[in-house]
Amino acid sequence: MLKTFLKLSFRSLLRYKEYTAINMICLIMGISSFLFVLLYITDEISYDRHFKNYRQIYRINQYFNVNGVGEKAASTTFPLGPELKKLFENEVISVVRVFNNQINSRMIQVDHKKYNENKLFFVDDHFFTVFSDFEFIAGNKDTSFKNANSCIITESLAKKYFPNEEAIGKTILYESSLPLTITGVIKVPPKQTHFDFNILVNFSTIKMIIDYHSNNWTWNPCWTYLLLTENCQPDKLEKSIQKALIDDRKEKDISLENFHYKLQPLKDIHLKSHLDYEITKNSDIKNLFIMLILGFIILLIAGLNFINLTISFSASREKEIGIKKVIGANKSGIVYQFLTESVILSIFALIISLAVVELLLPYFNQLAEKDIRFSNYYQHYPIILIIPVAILTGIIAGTFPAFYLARFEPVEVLRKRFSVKANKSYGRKIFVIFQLSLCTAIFIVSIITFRQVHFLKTTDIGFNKERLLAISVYNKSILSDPDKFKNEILSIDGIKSVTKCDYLPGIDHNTHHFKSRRNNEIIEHFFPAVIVDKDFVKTLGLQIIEGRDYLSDDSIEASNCILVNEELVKFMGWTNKEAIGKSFSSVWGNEKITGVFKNYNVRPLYQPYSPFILDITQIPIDRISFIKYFLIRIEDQANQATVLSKIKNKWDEATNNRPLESIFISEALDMQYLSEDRLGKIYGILSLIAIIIAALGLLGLASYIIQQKTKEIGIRKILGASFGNIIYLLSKEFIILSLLSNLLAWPAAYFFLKYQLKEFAFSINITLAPFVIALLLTVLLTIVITLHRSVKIAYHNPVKSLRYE
Amino acid sequence: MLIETINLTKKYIVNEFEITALNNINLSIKTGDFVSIIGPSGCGKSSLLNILGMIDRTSSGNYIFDDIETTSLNEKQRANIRKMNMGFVFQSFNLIDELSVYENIELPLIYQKFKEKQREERVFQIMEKTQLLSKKDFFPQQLSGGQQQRVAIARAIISDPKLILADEPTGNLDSFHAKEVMELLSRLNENGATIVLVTHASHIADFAHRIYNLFDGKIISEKIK
Repeated sequence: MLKTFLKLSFRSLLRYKEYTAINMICLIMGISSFLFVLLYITDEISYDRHFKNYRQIYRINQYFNVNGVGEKAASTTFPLGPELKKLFENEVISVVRVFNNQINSRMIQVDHKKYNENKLFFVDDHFFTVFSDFEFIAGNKDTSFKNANSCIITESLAKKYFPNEEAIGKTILYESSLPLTITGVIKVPPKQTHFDFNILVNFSTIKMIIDYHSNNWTWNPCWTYLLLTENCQPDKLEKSIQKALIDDRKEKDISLENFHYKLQPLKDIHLKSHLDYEITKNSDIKNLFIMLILGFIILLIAGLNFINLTISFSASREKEIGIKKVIGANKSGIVYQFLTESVILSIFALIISLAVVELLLPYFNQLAEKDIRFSNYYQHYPIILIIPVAILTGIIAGTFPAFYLARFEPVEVLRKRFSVKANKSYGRKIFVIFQLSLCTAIFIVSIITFRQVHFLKTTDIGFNKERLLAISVYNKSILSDPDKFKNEILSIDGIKSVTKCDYLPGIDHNTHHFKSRRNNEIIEHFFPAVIVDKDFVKTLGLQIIEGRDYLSDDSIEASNCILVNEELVKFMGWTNKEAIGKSFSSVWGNEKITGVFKNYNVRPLYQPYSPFILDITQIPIDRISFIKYFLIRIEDQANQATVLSKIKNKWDEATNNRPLESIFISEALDMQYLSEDRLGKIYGILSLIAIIIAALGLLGLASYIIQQKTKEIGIRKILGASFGNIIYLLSKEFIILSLLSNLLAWPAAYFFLKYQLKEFAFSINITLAPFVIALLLTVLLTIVITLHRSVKIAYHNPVKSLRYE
Repeated sequence: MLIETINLTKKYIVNEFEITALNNINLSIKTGDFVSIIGPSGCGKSSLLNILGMIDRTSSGNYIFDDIETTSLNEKQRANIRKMNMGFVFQSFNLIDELSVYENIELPLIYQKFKEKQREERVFQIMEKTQLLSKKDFFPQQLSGGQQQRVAIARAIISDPKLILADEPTGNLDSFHAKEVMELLSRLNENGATIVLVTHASHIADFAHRIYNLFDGKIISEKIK
């Protein structure tokens, strides 16, 4: 019987080509989209899970919060790791600290060639105990990392530096002065990690670079990872750490009030960690849920298409079903046959979808900035598994139509009274409304997501970001006399102003410890702040609303003043006028407020305004080491390319041809929203696919329903109906369906967007326009589709229509 | 007695109007009979045939088939009796376009779960009987009307049914092919098949041994040849 069913199924599918083609295309698009979503999600959740011990690896974070202002830092202090190992030797197998001096890139010199490397980290020599599973091509994990000045590089970097020889044993220069010996080469690690590196330098080398104090409990620049024992309970350990390091010491050190340590599982970092000072910007698990839902929606739309088209086209097969029942088929036989057809369709659709995914994967990887290889999954999931998956898909999609069709009664068929009532099937109309409403909702969400991304990139963030160039200056050549280089830059035609800072505006900042006095009581504050020079306000175009900007001279007063923002003034309970002259004490002495500036966005727009301080660095001289960047404002009328070229020349002269690292602030800001941009594009593509699938389904359905009305149209034409009357008759029903679908879609889209936009402190308002655009688009789509099918019939000779019937 | 109907009545509701298609029909048909039911369009012939074929149900009265009272049977039981005992021939042939001649004829045996070898044997036998061997792999759309009807007849008799029901079997055929089909049915009857045939053409009805005249749902006359 199966052989006959298979034969019959194949031939039926070939006979009803339009139905088969539309169904196949929709299933392929739906399944391929879902596969891409699955690949993306699988890749995202696999981050850091390739480490054998990943379940036992935790990062320790430190939080402090004083009246709503503070820090939730992914990085901690230098002494913390060793102290935890000492205090909790039964729970902590090993500790590793990771440090990059809070600088993104360092210069490495190989012979005469100079490179900027932004994946260089200093790590403790137990690194390969905590993070095992790196494959050594040269050297080994037990001995390669024992000595100071030793470094381990990846295979790709080894090829870059030493294309024609072995890298092991070779010497490279850190910042043109500190020799590092390559003691190991490892295979390039998987990209699926929150911590992407290509050079690891032994931690003890730090002493040769910075003024390292192993007992500095204030500065928190390093990331600390713990390898815990298998039976260690992290919650309990966290409490013990809090007790030992904070609670028992609070009385002696008031700054420990409101201070907490938190253990974070390694596997949670990539998707759930959005702390201050992350190694890299992490993803968000919420976006994965949204993508999964989108993927399911597209699959659902394709499935609904399948059901709707199968039922609609069943009227062409009523005779076949009736005859079979007359000659002996029972209901289960009919069900079985239609399920066979839908399983065949879904097997073919799945096989073709796999090929489509394989073909389009490079483009998807480019869009999603991933390195997904489909072949990786074949190793874990045998390809033969697709057969049961396809069968299951076919059964799920085909069950409803199969049972629907099996209920045809032979007597009704033979009396020719039966027809799948094309114009009275409420069930199918509900499917169409549901499909169109899903598409409409996705479309509205895509429009608003694009608008939000555009808003993020273009909204006024409180300073002028255009033609503002940042160059990385953290090197001895510049920092030995930064003002000299600053003056060189200022001497270039087309440069308006130059300033120095330790963090880039709009992107990041530090947190400084201040103390104030109120009624003889000392109050601790931890305010977000950046270290700047006197030209910062002018260069950025900030607005001073009370008091004055920094003085332009080098007086003591100039170096001991700070500028604060409106939000800080509000936080302290002052008026702007009252703020002027108030002071805070810090490690650098007493710092007086000389001006209040208008709020600007110091971080990406996820964060609301918060209290903020501009802390000048002119004197004392030891603060110069904090300077990492020059910000250069280029004149509006200057030729940018010429100016950049002159800056490069000055740089080469000053640094002896060190590679220049520069970026326009506007670009750097845009990069903060790369993931939103990327997701917006992915949502856009998925919504387009959903719309195409729904449109194809609508096309198939419209074709069929219109064909069913051929006789009716012929009669109406004979009775005097015009072309317009006919078109209106045929499209009216679909237009009503598309209007009803918008009724469902609008509230769903609205509530989803409200939830989505909540993650941004600054976002667009949800206006009516996208909803109206979606409404017009769905109506236009249905009109175009039905017009496409109706025109022929409307122009048809009515006699032919009746003869056809 | 193979078929007996006692006061068989069939009524339809069409747009709130009740139509009596069959009114107290009393029929007796023996095994081996060749019976025609003749009457004008709308007299209830097809309704009667559908009830005799257990495709439709009575509104009242009794229908006894092969000593089984069928009125109280459920759909599954009726379908089983139909499958095992009856073959149908329709005016518009009602072949399945996606199946070849061989596959169309074979189909009832598949539903009765015959094994492949048994099916092959019987199908070839029947195709020989109905002179269809040379058309084995043809599809219905490649055959003439007469050939298609022969395929339909072959399908109707493949499982050796007790009863063959033919609803206007020559309605879509020219006179040559109509005669061909009727001669085939006569031969089958001579070999023992019980045939009930419905037609509006008296020259076709004349092939039968007994003719019932149906008018407005009632048997108005019975002619025995």
